[in-house]
Amino acid sequence: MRAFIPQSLREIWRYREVLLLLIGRDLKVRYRSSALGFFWSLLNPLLQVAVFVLVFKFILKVREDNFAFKVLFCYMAWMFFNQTILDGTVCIAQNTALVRTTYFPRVILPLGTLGSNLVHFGLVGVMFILIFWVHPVHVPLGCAFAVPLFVLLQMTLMLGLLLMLSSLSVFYSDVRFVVNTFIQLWFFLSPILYSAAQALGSEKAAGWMKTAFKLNPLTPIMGAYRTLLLEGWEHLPFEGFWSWLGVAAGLSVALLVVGWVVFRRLEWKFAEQL
Amino acid sequence: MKIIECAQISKRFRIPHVRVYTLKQAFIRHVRRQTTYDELWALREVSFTVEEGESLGGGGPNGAGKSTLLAILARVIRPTTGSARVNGRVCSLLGLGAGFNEELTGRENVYLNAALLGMARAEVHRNYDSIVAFAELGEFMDAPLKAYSSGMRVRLAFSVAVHADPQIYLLDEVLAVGDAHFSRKSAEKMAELRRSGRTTVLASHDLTAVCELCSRALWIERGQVIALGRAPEVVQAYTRAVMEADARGA
Repeated sequence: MRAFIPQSLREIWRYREVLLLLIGRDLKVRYRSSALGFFWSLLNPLLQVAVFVLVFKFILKVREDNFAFKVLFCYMAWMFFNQTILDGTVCIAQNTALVRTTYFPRVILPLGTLGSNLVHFGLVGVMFILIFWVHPVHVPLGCAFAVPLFVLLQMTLMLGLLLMLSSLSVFYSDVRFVVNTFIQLWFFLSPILYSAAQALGSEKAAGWMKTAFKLNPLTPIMGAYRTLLLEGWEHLPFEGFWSWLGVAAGLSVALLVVGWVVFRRLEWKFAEQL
Repeated sequence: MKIIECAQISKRFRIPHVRVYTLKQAFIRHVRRQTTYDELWALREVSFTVEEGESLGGGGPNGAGKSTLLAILARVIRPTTGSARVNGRVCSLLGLGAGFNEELTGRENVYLNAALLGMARAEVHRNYDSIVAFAELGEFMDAPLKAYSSGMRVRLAFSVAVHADPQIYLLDEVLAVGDAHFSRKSAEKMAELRRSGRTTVLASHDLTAVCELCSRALWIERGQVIALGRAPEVVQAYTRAVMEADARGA
């Protein structure tokens, strides 16, 4: 059995305690640096979504049931995505002293960023459940249990991006700026503030735009968060949802493989470059 | 048992004529085929072995390749050609306290740093009191590291390192940590570890230290091995060469 697991993965397993301690470190630093700690990070999505509701529901008069809930959940998942990518892009450079002097599988660093942000997302998710409890909305249970699968897909996508961006940004300082800019565009191009069906129903958008929209792996993921939780399987986020979900899964896995290869090729030069 | 085996290791650094910092520049230079660089061989075909329990001192002028050699042994960088085999747990004192974080408490930093040096959680647990006692920082362990003085940090880092119980210690220059009292204590501790059969590799241009602390010495210059043998003999040959060169220069 052991022979079938590549050495690089066994090495990560050997360093699992370091990984857990790094995740703990990230979380402690994050919550300890301000007096309100964790509650600040809860307040942020709530306030953001409050403003979105104000703008979209009351000013632009968007008519969509449970708009606030849908956007809140999508926005939390987006924050998970956004924060992980931003933290992860600089995760090697931020541990320069460590990388230059100590051996450990370098991939621990992006994995740690992903891990600590996942824990944070989980904690925020608990708060989300509490809101449902205070303000009951019918949630089809079967669909709620499917959410972790979509989170898993989202994390596959994130890890591929992280591996590529973290290793490239050691060598090129503009990677960080490129990421900062494009991630904002990505937010508006993904169905978070609007539903996928709405975007695809637009008459002004050209066919290629719609194809590009559906090729965005976040489209089926965010689409699923938006509809599955509140509307169940009967209302698919958009037509052809399952096949585009398959495309998103394929793209994410491909990106993970490419990211892994890039990272493994560059990791030996980190210490020289930093 | 041979604990370190280096066979013909060479390390080439490429120093670009124009340092490229951005993807954009890299792309433009690639298109125009302007990527040119100097090559610097920090090490050339260096071979040596270290027996378990031995202490090897690497001496030579600045820029001889000593630190590159240590970095290769620490598995931080990889040789361009040749192979370096290290058959045991390595603790490099190059990065004393490398994983330390300002916001974490002394205790949390001990656990993180020790894990990075290869200690299992249970091991750290068992040795925790002893680590704190050696560092003489009992009452400060729950304070964040940013409240520590630089001497306190080094004491803590050193204490973790000597408790990490590796087979091999890598030292860049002789360690003198903390105040007079602690620096004597740390020197004694290192001597005790050497006596107990730990292998040490020391890189230093302080030849008296190499002579005192090491049984064998490796003299390298411009990345090449000039001499390898018993410490007093190599150091003597090196001193003579330096004096002759000075005499010629004067």
